[in-house]
Amino acid sequence: MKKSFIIFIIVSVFLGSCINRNREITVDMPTGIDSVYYARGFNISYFDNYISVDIRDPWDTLKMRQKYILVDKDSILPANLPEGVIIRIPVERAVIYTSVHTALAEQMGVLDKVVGVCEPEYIISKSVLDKIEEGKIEDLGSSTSPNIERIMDIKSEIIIASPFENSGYGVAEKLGIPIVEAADYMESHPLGRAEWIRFYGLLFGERGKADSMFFAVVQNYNRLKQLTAEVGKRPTVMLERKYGASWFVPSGDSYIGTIHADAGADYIFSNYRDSGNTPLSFETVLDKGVHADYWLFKYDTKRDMTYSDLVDEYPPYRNFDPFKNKKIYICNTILTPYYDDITLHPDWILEDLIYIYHPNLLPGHQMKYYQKMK
Amino acid sequence: MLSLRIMKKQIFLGIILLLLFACNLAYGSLSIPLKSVIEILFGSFEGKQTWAQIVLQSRLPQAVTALLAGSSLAISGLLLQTLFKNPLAGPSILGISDGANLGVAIAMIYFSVGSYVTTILSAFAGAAVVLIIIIYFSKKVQNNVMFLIIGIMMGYLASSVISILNYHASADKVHQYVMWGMGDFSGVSLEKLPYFASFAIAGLILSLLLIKPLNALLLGETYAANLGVKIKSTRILILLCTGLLTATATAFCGPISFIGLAVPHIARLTLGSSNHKQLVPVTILAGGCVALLCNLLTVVPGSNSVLPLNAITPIIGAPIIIYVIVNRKNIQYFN
Repeated sequence: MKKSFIIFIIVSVFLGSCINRNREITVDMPTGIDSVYYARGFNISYFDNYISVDIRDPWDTLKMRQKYILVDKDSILPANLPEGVIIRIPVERAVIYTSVHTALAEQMGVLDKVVGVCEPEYIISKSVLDKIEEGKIEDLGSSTSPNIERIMDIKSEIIIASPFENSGYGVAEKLGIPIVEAADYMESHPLGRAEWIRFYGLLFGERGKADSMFFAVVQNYNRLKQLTAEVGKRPTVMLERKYGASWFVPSGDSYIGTIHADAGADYIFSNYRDSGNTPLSFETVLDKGVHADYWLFKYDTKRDMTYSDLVDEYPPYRNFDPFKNKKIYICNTILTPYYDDITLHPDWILEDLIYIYHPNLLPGHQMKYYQKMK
Repeated sequence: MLSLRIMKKQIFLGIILLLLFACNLAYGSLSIPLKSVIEILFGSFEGKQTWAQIVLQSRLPQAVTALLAGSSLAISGLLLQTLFKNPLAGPSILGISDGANLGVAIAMIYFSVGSYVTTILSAFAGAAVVLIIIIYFSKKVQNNVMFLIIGIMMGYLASSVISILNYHASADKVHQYVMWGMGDFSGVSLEKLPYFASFAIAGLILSLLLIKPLNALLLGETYAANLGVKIKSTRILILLCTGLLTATATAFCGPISFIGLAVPHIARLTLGSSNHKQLVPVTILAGGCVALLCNLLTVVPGSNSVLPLNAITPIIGAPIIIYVIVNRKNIQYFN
């Protein structure tokens, strides 16, 4: 009797917590698409009169970095809100610090709600540049110290910015304008990074559109990934090149590491697990990468790089097999929209990579970001 | 007239230099057995091809570069300290290396050309422009302290332009520029080494020719003038020599801090004299030693990565400067 009473207590406490939780409604999934969440950096919970978005600290995943409480503009601000940054949605006037997120806004079709951007010199999109030209979007200068007075003047409702470890946003934090910390670049899975569009969609009142865009990307990405699942030989690949004394290589579980693995290649530093990039010495990379099948790197000069530029830069590059066998593929990040698309369209980048490693899987594909070095 | 004591010190430094040079060839982030390294150097190695490439194409040019760059910077520091009678003068103080920085920043950030050759050329151009301005002022301003202040102002001007450029640059470019600014002996490949070496050696030989006027300058400018030293042309020669050495080292290796400032003090400490006949060769040797040691210390034991050079040089440089300041009376300075 006593035992069953205790069980009753336990069960009712458990149920109670469940009932409490039942107020959260899980995100509606379109039918037919696997409802897997890829992002680790945020989660969305729906409540009766608000939506709560929790952002995890990308540098210490046990900690929470920020909690956003999204409340509809039409409804009265509820009294019992939990602690967090309150954003009234849909946002009509947003300032975006990074060109990457400006590109996302454009892809979501909410460019008319963007009132200010930073560093327009790195924006490739013609329609954004036109709007800056017309004065519909303000140029706010550098993202490290933007023109605060202009931000106040244009009555921005939110600021979307990329967070950096241990650094704040300066005076912008004191404006009382909510700062949305867009930490998508710290995601370790390319689709995890893309999934952040669902959060941005909520902000602009485009939940349905953002979700369907994301699921379309997931579907396409996984379809492409499936192509390489059965490949016989996985070519080895080395990435990037040396700057100063160090060769910064992306770690194996970064989204770069993942996307190359999904494209059916074996990345030579896939066993490196520290987050972000690891600085290696040339010796280490030469030892590990001398017999790699492919070498891919990004660069940002206006002129396309050639084999002779590479020798000019550092002659020992010649020792690598991909150099000798002319298997170097390069991506010009100024002339191609690589950085604009890496967030929402890892599937397009994956397509290029699969074409490089396994051209027979995607016959006739035209590469959009990479090209064979000449 | 070298006394036995000084000869001994120079030989001792020479041996240390050779030892450090050998260590630089034998030790790196990849462990290669000593026996293989020796075989590679004597061309009798038949093992892993990569090892030979690492020793001959990476470690060897890097060690030679460190040696020459260290000597160059140390000598420019010594020349400037004597010229300005100021123990805290160094190659970075006249704005010459800031000029090189500015040249590189303009090329890398403004024009987006980050190739190796353009980096070197723009560093040279930047240093040369500052040097020309400095020499112009050296004719106008006779007072050494005032002239030093002009040099420092030139440095500030260059850094402020660099800040503006960085402020507008993308994270990638800033990263590239910051990496360059951390100093690096590995950038000079075997193919580029002859260019670097010929400039550096030319500058070092020029410095040996300046020994006599330098000693005369120690006695004071009026005294030196009485001895028949042409003060104005000596000043310009010293500036040219320093400019050549600093510009070469900075263009090829990036701005390397502290070596130029600290090594002349090490040389004076070892010698206990400020006679340039002994000081110049000892500074050349000590500069090479310190640079080789710093290069060695950039390799983190048991790790695949390397530390930035400019994170290492102050670890050696700063304690020496502090020692000099605390014990200034006990050291032979400019007398």
